[in-house]
Amino acid sequence: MQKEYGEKVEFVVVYIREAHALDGASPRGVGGDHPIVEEPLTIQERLSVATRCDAKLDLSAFTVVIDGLDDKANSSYAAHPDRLYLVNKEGRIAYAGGRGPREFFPDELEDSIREEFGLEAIEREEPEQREDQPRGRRRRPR
Amino acid sequence: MKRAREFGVLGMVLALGSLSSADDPVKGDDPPTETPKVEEIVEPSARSTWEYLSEKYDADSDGKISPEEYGRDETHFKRLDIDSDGFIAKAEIEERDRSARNERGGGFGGGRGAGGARGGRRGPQGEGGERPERTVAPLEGSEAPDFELLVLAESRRKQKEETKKEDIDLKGGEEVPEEGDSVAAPKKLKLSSFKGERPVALIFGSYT
Repeated sequence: MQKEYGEKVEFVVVYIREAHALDGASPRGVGGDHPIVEEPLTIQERLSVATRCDAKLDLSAFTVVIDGLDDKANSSYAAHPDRLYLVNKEGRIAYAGGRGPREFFPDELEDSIREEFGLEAIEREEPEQREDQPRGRRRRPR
Repeated sequence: MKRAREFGVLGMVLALGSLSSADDPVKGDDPPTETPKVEEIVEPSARSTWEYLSEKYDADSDGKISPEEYGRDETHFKRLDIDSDGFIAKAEIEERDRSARNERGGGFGGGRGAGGARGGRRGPQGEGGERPERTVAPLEGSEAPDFELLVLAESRRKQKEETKKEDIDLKGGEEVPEEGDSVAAPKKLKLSSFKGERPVALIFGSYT
């Protein structure tokens, strides 16, 4: 999406509090591919983890900013554990996605970007419901 | 290619490239706001939580970690000292990992999605202000809350393209650095700086 709309839209990853730090509020067992992360206690620690994330997931297409330890951006946007938004040119919220992971729908973001620029909506098929990843309510029902 | 979901949040959106990276023990006493270079950051090679913790903290290798060995704060120690016996022990950590895996394997019953844990089912956990409160999201149409945050890295794809276009002559043929430089003044980005310029897509998430 960044590749396609990156000229028109600034894509910014806001790195927030760890969802599943091993010593955090909701740890997950390590196994498979869950990264081992201790909850950052300093901004430097958070920067280090964000850097690991950046390297592992290749966030190079994005500008990555780090939320302070006061979790201010996180709270202002009720972002935990993950969420998508589109802020329009006038500084207003054009799209507020649902809370992840169940309501995290990148294609909704794309649809709202296209709307913003008066581009034709993309015809999409309803994705299959996966047994192991039940999806929540969509903001933009098809 | 690993399943995107298993990298947590951001993996759902992003392609999973990976770069090799070197070693960096995470410490709390580094100078603040210096952007770590990518080569210095390592993914821990440990394959279990206990392996990671014991390697890092169990100085006398006696199979348990005392508060003195631990060195981080009390809240996090207490979260790991599950049976509250004053030590972080192999058995309790492994048991915790086991039950976390089982719960995950059992699916998302009762609203306990990956992001929805309230902590109650996990026995004694650190309470208090560490977990962000569930606030309410700003509504569509309302003014986007502004923020000014530290920049880890700017879009490197953009930088690369700009470099190609301008054909910058670099000293000694050095490559454009791909990660943030450790310069004296850490760079910050203000959301409202884009007002009147272009829309901003915000992707909130973390590694885990």
